[in-house]
Amino acid sequence: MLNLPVMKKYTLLLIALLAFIFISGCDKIDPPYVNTPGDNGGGEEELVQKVLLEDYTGHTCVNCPAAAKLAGDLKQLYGEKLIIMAVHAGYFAEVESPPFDLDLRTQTGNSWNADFGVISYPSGMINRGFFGDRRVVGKGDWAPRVATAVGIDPKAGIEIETTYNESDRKLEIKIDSRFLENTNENYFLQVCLLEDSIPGAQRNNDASVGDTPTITDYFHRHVLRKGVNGNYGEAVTAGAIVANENYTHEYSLNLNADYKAKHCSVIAFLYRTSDNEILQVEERHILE
Amino acid sequence: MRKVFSIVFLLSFFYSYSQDFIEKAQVNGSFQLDGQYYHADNAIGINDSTIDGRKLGLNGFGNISYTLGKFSAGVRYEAFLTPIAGFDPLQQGNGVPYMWASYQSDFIGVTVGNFYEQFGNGLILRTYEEWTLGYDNSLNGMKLVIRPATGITVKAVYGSQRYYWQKFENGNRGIVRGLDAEIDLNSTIKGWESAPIRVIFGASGVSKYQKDSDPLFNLPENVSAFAGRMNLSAGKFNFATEYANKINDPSAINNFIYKEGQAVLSSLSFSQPGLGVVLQLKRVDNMSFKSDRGVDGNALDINFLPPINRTHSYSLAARYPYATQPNGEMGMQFQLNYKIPKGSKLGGKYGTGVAVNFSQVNDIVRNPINDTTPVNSQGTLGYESDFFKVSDHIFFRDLNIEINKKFSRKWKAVVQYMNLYYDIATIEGHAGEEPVKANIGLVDVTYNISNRNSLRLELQGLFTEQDDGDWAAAMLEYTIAPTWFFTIADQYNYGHPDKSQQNHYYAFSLGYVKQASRIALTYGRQSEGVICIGGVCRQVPASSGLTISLSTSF
Repeated sequence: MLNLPVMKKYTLLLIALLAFIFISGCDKIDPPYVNTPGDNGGGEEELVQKVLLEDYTGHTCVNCPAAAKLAGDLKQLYGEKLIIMAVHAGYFAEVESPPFDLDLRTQTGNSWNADFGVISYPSGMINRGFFGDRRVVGKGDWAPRVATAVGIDPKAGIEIETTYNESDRKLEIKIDSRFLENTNENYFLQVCLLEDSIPGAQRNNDASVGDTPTITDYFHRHVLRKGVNGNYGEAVTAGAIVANENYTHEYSLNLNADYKAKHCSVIAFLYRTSDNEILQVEERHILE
Repeated sequence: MRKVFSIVFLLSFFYSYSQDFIEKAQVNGSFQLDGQYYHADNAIGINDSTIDGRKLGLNGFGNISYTLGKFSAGVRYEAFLTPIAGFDPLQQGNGVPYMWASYQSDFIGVTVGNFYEQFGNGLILRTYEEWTLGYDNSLNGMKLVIRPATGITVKAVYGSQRYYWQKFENGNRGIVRGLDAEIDLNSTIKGWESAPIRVIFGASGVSKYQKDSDPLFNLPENVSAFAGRMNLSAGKFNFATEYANKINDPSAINNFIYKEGQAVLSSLSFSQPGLGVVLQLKRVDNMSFKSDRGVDGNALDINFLPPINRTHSYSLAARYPYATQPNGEMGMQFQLNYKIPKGSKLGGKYGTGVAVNFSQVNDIVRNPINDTTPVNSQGTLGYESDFFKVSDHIFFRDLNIEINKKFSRKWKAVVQYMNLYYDIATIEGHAGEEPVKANIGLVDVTYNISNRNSLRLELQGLFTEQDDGDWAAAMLEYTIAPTWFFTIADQYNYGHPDKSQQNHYYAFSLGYVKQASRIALTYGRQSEGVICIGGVCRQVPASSGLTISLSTSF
């Protein structure tokens, strides 16, 4: 019945083979879908590679609470190995009528937002690295990149000491940086002040995270408050970096009256100026 | 002597071959350059820091293809230096992102390099390029098309998709593999060639592979999707339908849920001279399918979910276009085109065209998978959804009526009314904002001064209490056919709730067309908005300055 003048057995065989090759891949996943957190607390070894996740966000960004939750899940998984910094910048961070009248933008965050070309929110950078691809990525790429970055052998270490005087709200910061290898490359030290759990309103479209379309009692986590030593920090040293040499930098500032000291922390990171990639990062709460 | 003979033989062979290579070949090409020069315009919120030094945006491409008998090859060069405002900064770059070579015979077709392909309606695979959106999800790999018998076509593809200028390496995105088969029963079965009913069946399968390196989730590395389709036509009627299913595909788009996805698209149409009726139905549930599960922008889509809404061309009617919601939507569209006959009372001397279009898209119903898990929680099955239930949540509704009338050899006009409901919170992500309910009316009148000279006037009004409020627009175009056109236009946002933003968006344009070349210059302002093509959208920021567009083909 079929008009198949040129159809031969080998054609059918080829088609069957192609069907097998192309369509054979099909992974049906059974529960549990979520991996159980392991012992990733870190801190036991002398030098631990830590990773900075920068979450570019804003209070009217509906998809941002889900991204913040994802960052929190990763923090739970990696413990102190993962440091989160939420940078409020861009269109969704602009001040609007109440309850979105809280301004969490900073000069430093605005500068990074523009210079790293962040145009959609939430977006993130993991150690400001490209991972062979692109630097600024959506939340879907955060977890695998954090996993990769955490697995890298450390090449430098940072120690932070803070002294906070509650009476005059003066904060003294001392950063010791140490590299494990000699290098002629330029490295900068960036120091930032963060405040955690700032109450405010947040747009949201994920019912599993909170009320939609607005979470009125939201806590903004790990918020960048200030670039302590400017938007791009300062050189670790004027000359070449020598292995195991201790490079000390000290800073002093007065904590803004609106900031809650018990929620404030200092983070410091070392980055290569040629590509902005972060080599090491550390965080310390100012009341520790 | 033998050596000399061999050299002469080879030279004569290459000479004759190269003669064929040049004389029997066909070379085609097309070029386009779109440029924008920006300047600060504080009245519409553009200042020097907005421009940030990037005063000039230039997007350009050149396509060249070479055909010699059954062989063809081509390249496309692109340069986005810097990209025009509104295009993704990742577009910035220049080079040849698209090159291909192909052999096509009656039995087999093979393409290597970059290519575009579509299976059925595209529900599980469609790669395409849309210059206006800056969208290109072409595959880089191989495509094989076999026609083993009359009426039977089998296609196989594999490759990685284009992601701006980033090279595919080290598994930085997924690999796509697909197979499609289509049989036209009337061509294949003897005796059915002239049957009154024409039947076409098709089936396809697509699989993507992406390594799981996620520490949080246990992700499927191979995700498959399958689709089946049918097209029946009998006389003036045509019925087409396609159903697609995708296995668990947790991604940034669906909030990493493990629910299966499905989509169905059906269309019933009737057509005869002077009358056309189309009814379309669509259901989409968790059908975003990308070759990188982490990407959440307009990139790396393996499939395409066709919109079933009218695409408007007039500026205010197109101000609130619908963007397909891949996580779930149920839609319908009804379109009636009727030509009131010539000589009748309403038809007049030339007849009158009437087009009525209605479309509505609602959300699907999502129920929790159990009492303790909120809907769409990541790392779960997400939700349960009854296939036939429609949510009360309306995303989009458009009722429009258009009358097209030629009054005389000199005068013709188009009149259109549109009633719109646009859930701006869902479609544009402006959570908490009230849906836009708008009435839009427009008149487009053309007066042919002579055979070569004509004037066209557009008057539009958009009336709404939501978003930016009321708009009025006017445009006057003078055409000297077939080469010159001049336009002066203004959009006035006179109803903006913030009086300081009740701006005029004026523009002056001129264009010159000669054969296949076109040059257009526009000076003025462009209002902020969204443009959508095929349900895929990009934000267009407000801008002010000079725009040039140049295109040619050969």
